[in-house]
Amino acid sequence: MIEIDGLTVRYGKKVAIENLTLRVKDGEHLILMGPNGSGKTTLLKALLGTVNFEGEIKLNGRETKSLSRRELAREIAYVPQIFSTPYTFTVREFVSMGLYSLTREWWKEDARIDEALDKVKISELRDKTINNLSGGELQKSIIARSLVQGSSYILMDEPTAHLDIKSVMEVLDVISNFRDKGTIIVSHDLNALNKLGGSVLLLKNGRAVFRGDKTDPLFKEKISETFDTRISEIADFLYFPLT
Amino acid sequence: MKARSVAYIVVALVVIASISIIYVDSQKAKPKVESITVTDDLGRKVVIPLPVKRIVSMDPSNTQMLYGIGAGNLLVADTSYDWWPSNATKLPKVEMDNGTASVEEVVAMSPNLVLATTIQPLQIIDQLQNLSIPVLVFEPANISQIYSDMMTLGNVTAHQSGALKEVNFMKTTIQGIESKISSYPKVSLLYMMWSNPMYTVGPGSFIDSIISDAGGINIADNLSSPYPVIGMEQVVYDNPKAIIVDNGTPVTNISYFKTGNQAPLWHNISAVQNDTILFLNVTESNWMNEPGPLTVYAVQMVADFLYPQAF
Amino acid sequence: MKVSANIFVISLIFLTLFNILVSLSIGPVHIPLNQIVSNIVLYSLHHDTNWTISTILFYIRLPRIVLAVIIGMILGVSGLITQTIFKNPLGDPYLTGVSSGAAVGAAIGFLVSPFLVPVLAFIFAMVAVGISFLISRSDGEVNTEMLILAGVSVSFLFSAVASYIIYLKIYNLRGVLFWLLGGLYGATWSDDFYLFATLLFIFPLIIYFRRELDIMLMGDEQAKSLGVDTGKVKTITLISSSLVTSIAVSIVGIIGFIGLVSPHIGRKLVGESHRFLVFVSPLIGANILLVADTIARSTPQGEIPVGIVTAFIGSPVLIYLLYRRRKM
Repeated sequence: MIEIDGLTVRYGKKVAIENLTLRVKDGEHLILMGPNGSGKTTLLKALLGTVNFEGEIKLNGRETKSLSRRELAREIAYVPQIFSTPYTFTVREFVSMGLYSLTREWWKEDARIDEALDKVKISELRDKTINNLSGGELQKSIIARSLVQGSSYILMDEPTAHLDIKSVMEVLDVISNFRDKGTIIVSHDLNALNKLGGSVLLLKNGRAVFRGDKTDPLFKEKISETFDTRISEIADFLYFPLT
Repeated sequence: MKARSVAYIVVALVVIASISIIYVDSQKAKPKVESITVTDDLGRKVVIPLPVKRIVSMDPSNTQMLYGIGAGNLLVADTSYDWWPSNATKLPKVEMDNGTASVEEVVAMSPNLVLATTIQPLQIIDQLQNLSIPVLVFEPANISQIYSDMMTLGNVTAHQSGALKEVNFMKTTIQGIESKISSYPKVSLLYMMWSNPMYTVGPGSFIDSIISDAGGINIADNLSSPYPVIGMEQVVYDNPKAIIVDNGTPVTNISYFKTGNQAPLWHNISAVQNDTILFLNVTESNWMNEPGPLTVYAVQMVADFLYPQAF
Repeated sequence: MKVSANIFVISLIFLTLFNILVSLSIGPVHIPLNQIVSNIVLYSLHHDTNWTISTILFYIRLPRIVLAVIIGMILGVSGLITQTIFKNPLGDPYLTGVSSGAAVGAAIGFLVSPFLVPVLAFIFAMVAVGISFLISRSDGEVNTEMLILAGVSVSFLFSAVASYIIYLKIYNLRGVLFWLLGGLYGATWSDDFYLFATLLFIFPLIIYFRRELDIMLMGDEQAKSLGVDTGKVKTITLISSSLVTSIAVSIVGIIGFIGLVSPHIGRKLVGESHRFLVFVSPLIGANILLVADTIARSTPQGEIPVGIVTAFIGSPVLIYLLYRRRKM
């Protein structure tokens, strides 16, 4: 369970997030939506502890500010957006970096690595070097790495943003099959909203504008208001039917 | 308008005519000048209008050669490094800032001749030449070149007899030294210009020629550079019988060789065991480093040091 | 992959030992191989040996060879740390201002008293590094982008100061020039002792942090999310590397290219991961510097500064490596 109370994040004079209160249940997939600059990425950073914030964030009852980096990494994992990388680690080496918070011996073979590769369906890429992966393959490798951390939550920043249709569907499929893991996913992609349960937080100017389920009629109203468009127009482009 | 064009043409003609008249006139006004052409040590052929009455020297060795041939009275300015003879120290100084002089200071002395060495950047020499001030660059690499440079100076300053006298004096002195030491076995020598790294003098350097004139064998003669760094292992192997330490190094007394942290390496070397180490003072160092009439003292000093039995 | 990397490490160790033996037999004074062997044998059996040859071998060549190996290792480690932490393939150990700071100290030393050169070089090197760190501080954690800029700016400033000081007493130019280009002349066993202690400090340190260094290549944000205390790692490794490099520079002057090139060659052999790179980079540095110094002290012109030789060896290697990278 993630409990956020009175979260305020400032970058100099600018207030990126103002007095946010949020509850995320165990195993919940929360889609974080909002226009650019609304505070989505900042919220992820606050949860990860990479920005200074006022207020309280508790993970499973413990305040994140009181946790060491390692302890925090055992509770929350992060899947950033990377388009490509120049480094020549193999996929296996790359994924095994996720074990750092759990054990210092990360070069030994570990069943958890193969398990993760399998879950994300990239077992055959095990010995390929990460600089030679496609965008979709790299994204899946990062997801596999976050799985290996064994955390209760995974934060994702636009995981489907630059992927082709097939990869989008595969990635969303993988996420929907997570056991015992909640996610907070920043996404403009309504496909994610559809496929992953429909729980959404809509931000605008650092404030929560809507928190609830996609089926709530208020949601459609708020989305139209925030993005200045009608949701029914968007529905024509979805991969999964909007229910 | 026709009138305007005519006016322009007239003005142009007048201007051309005036310029031509002035030019022809100036040509007539130039007196015929007697001059002499000499070659300096850089191979430059320099035309020097005579007579030479005012000389600026940019280096102590040039100053000394001038005084040596008896033409010191022609010197109007020298450098802050000049120390001999005492008259030279009283002359106005062309500002010597770490080996270079300012062209303005030189020109302000209205010289008809400037004497330089290769320490001065070539641009300064070119600048002076462009201002019609002849510059002679002297850089003797051995005693014979000192003789020829002094003879050249003698020609230029109308002191041929003075130059000849000085050259003969030096030749005789040197020959005297050589005959006294000729019967003795040659002594090997290390000449220390700096201790760490150990800079020494090699073939092609002036000091190396002094050493051989004084009958010494420079252990660095196998190194093909005039100012090489010699490795300690070569010194250990060659085991010089004598060491001369130039002035201005951090090595100022014998403790460096006997008790310093490098001492174990020097321990078995002949020169150290027999205490045949000569530390040069400022004057003696100048004799070694400034080619000129005082070089005879340098040769005498080294020969004396290497062959005390001969004198 | 695992197996072959181990082989590389072991081969490099053997190569280093072989290199040491070969370098022992090369020098301005020609000593035939059989004499060297017999001298070594007699010496270890505490018998009387030819004094000249023993002195040359054990008090002149060997301490210098050992020094080259140690310094090469130090530079190989420092260079690797710098390239990883700054994520800059052109990083070298002097990036934070060490070389220019040391140059100022050395210049003052040569002006006042050459015996003070090592101490002054070290002090001013650390001053320059300290200023770089102070300028680039933000929110407590080391900001690597700012630190590079700070290091470069500080280097410019200190270089200018050093040049001016050198110019003041240009008569001493030869001593200073040799120092600036790097030289292992006059190496003694006590130099080796201090530098070995320095190596004993930095080598285990980089071995300890090799996992963190791997992860930090992916960027601060990802590293933090994986549990790495990036602030602590950056501070400890960079300060240690600067400290150790300053000590090395204070004794042998500024030797370039070793710190830059060794990690790259290492990566070509054992890959990106620091698991083996922390062993391979220093070993490669040791061998390159040893070869360079053997050449530097044995030219027909006498001894030349080793920095000149490392530049001659290093630049073509660097150009070749960059060229290969382009083709990929």
